[in-house]
Amino acid sequence: MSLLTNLTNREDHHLLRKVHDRIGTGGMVAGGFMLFLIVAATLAPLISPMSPNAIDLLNVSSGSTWLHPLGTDNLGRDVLSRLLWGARPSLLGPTLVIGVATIIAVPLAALAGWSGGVIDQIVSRFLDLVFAFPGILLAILAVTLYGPGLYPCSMALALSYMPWIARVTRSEILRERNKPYIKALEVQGLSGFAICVRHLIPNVSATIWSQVTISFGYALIDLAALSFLGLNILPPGSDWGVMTNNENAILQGDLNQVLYPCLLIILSVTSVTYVGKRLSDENTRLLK
Amino acid sequence: MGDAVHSAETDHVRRLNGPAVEVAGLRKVFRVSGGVGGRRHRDFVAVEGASFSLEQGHSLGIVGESGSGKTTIARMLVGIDTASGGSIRVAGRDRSTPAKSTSERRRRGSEMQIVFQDPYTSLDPRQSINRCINEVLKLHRTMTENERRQRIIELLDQVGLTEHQGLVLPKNLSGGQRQRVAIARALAAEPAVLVLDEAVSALDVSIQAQIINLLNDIRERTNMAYIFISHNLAVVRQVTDQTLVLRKGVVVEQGDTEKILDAPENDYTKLLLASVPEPGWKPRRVRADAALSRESEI
Repeated sequence: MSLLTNLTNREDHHLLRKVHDRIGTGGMVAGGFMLFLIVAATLAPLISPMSPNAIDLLNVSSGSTWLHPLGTDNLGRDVLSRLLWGARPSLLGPTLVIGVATIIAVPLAALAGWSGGVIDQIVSRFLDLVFAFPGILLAILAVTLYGPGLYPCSMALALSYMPWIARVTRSEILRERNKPYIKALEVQGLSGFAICVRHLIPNVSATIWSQVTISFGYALIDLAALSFLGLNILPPGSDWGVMTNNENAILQGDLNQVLYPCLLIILSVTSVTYVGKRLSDENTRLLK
Repeated sequence: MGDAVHSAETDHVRRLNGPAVEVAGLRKVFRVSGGVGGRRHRDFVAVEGASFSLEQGHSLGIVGESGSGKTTIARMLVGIDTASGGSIRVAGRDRSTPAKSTSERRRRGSEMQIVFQDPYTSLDPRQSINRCINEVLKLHRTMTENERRQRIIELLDQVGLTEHQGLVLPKNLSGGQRQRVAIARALAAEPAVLVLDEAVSALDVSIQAQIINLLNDIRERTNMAYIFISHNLAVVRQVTDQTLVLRKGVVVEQGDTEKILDAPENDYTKLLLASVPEPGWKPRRVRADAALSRESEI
């Protein structure tokens, strides 16, 4: 083996070991599964065997065949292709929800935790207020106002997930801001904004990441539920939630049409939540 | 420590008209919540009427037992806490009230710096030593990147750290080394006054001695004034020329360090001195003295 590959191998190994140290073997498997889903969703146009909406009337509600590895649904659409294409909104949705929620939550939390006093009170009470609205309810409200679709649902859920991330981040910032290194920077005369952006937020990022990961799983379930209710992705479009809403299949006992999307939802939520839990456990361990 | 490297240009000697620090009637009252439902408050006086002044190039020790208000004075001086009363002037400018603008805060930062007790939490764990000092230099001085790099090497050398140690994260340094970094970071702002809040207390004895020598060196070279807060009287004797003895927030004695430590007038100072273990030291005598001072209080 040449020196170069030796070196790169060692680097690679090092990174993987670092990840392994943080989330363990189970976390690596779970994270690997999520990575696999993301790659599959990205490559859906290339790897899906047929169009997700192509109807094969000769093979309606078929079981696994060579042509349709996971069978077809009651309209004769290929389940594997629909799962692959459906992975896109199913994963993009929660990403959107949590991305927007985090972008709002972290600055709010930093503002509250850094300023303290009245500003903290106002921000915290505002967060309590938003907490009071269940996400699904807000999403239904958004759908009534703007019509069904991924964006109204995602934005409504983003608002309801925001306080979950903000509250944890704020308490972490409160803990961190009294440490001497932050006091030293204050005494130096560094602006509050610079201290927050360059020092405070990076130093609580581990907590933010674990909270983001756990929330991602919940958001995925919520969006699937909204799709199931016909408020998020509308047929003929597909995500995993839409695919579970197939009463014909259930009535006729062709459970495999519903089984696969359900299985994907369960596995992806479990994986994401497991990684998040491992991250947060690791943070608590490091704090001790 | 490579002293030969230092030329006159690298040490920035400040010349001020008048004292470096002037404190008059400094007072700090904390509101402690107590009683049912925390509705009733009770005032706790942490510092009551402390007054002192400190000349350029001199060093003032603040001693007293835990909870005597030493650290509260330090925190008020650097602006972490706001004084409840009295006035503070540093380098001829008033800082009794909190800084209103960022530029005022920065200016105060260039007048007075602080080194904290715990070297393990004094540095940003995610920032390399070089970046840590670079940030301070960027804040206070207009320098090119090259000049800053040069200055970082100088500062590290001044506190006895190598160029290589500047590349690492704090976790790769020992407690003593981290405290040196904290001192270098404070020096980077080239303050007129440096507050050392129990800055050597957490270090083991040989490291303490090194840091004390280092501080004495820096003072001679830069004419910087020190406020040295410690419960360790032996260290105070080595570093300071004036001392202030605090007890329950009140200054019970102040004057020349030699005089206070050799011939204390106040009973509390005597007790403090008698509490230091030395040959022939008898704990029983201290306890008797303590009982005596409690009686006299009543």
